[in-house]
Amino acid sequence: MKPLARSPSLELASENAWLIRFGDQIQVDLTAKIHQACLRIEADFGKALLDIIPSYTTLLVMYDLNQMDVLQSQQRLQQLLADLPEEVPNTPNKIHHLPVCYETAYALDLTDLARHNGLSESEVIQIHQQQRYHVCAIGFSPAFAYLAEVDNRIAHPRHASPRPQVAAGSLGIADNQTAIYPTPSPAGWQIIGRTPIELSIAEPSNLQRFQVGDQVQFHAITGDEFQRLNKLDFAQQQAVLQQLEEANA
Amino acid sequence: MSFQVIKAGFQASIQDMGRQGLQQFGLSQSGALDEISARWANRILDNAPDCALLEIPYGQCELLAQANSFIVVTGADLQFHINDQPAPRFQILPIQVGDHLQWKHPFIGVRAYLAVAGGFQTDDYFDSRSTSPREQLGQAIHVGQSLPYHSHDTQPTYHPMPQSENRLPTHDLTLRLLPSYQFSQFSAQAQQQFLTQDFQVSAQFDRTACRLEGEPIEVPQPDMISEGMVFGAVQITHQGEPIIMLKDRPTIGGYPKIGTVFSLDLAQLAQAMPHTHVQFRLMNPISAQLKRRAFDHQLDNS
Repeated sequence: MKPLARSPSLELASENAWLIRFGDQIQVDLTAKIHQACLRIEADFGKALLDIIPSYTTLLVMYDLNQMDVLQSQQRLQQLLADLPEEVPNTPNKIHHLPVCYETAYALDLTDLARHNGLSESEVIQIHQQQRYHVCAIGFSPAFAYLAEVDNRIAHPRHASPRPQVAAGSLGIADNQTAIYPTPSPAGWQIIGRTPIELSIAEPSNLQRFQVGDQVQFHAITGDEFQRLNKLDFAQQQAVLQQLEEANA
Repeated sequence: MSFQVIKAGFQASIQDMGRQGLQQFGLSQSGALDEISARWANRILDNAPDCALLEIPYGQCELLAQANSFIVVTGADLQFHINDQPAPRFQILPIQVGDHLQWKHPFIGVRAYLAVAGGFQTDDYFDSRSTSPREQLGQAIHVGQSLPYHSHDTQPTYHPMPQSENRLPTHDLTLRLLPSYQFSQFSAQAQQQFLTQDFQVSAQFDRTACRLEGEPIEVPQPDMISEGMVFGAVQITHQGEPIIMLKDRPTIGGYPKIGTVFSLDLAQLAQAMPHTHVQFRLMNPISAQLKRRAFDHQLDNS
């Protein structure tokens, strides 16, 4: 299917912000381009950049209006975007490998999802973990990374009403996206597993773990392995992730 | 050395100018809702602009000082008293061990700001002392809590705030709106309606957002792909209700946005009670920048 990306356009977002639009539909290969644009703008604007928010098809750029005015910022962004290569290689900034237990105790909606989609549970698990997902956006709460694109065979709409609370580390599916809830949270997504890895910002270094442009792959573990990893401290867990990364390099 | 919280009020919280640079990781901006009052509180007291203050909505707050220092109160008139005597806002006031500071009931406006010399020395989260309960970064103040500050013996240099900077709203509020985001995708009729209609501030008004009541605004589409949201972005819900996104907003959102409120007008909105009448007026970004720069310049050079 012909890609629907277009020349990036600039839209006014506020008195000191521009919204750059890269496309009209969610496409995973846009994330590499958006990440690249992000890096270039950060380098070019330097201290004049207040903040930047990549999200699916857009990039919000907030600048210090005491260092740059509307026209200057617009011109600089237009120039940077013109210099951006048409095709940016789809090399991720980083690939994360995360252990997930898909067993019933943790996979609250797996049985229903499998039945609804006409698959066995093991088929759902296999399809879910064979994909490398792109981090397309981070929001809703700190370090909540939206991952795309979930295979159509296991895609499923979210619940009509959210569960009041799911455990930290819960792995969900909503339509063609998947994500992990880093903290206990109300959740409308279909819960199909849980990771024992501490991902919340109670551990501050977790805030910058995921970035738009990264990719994520999930690896099934048993309930026993979940229990074992769950008991490890943060440093020990990082060592486990390191091993998983090396094994999958 | 600290204030002891005797009465905690209604979600009074420590705020500074917020967190910038981490919104791409889903961390909300946070920070003082009324930027004009908060920045002036620090400036009058010769504090650095990023000193943490106490934001006090509506009143019913009482603090006991346990160290000598100097304070300034700005923002809403919540009948500020020291030791049961009315005390003025906008001036440097000395405080001593044993002083009771009290904010009672709203007389004009909603949010008062308490600045202390050197700023509050409360916990730091990702380089900001702004609290954000939704993100588990601190909480609203509670009874019995200690709010640390350094003791000061020498009165700081006084930078008086010009009377014109006291911008508490009258009953009706006009919010200047930049035609940003999806403004041009709304029908001409919807734009016209939005810019001429009389809205009212609803009771759903907190640090995250302010919902307005009025005739529903027709949206170009019900949902969009989520995109970054600035302070003051006006989302329109499925029901056609405007929601003005404020300091504790999530970083991205998927409702269509009809525009963005000018930053200095958001400071006035922060002082508006529910039922305040609101109208919008178009503003262009160059004019907005000139006015904002003039405000920043006046502050820094006062």
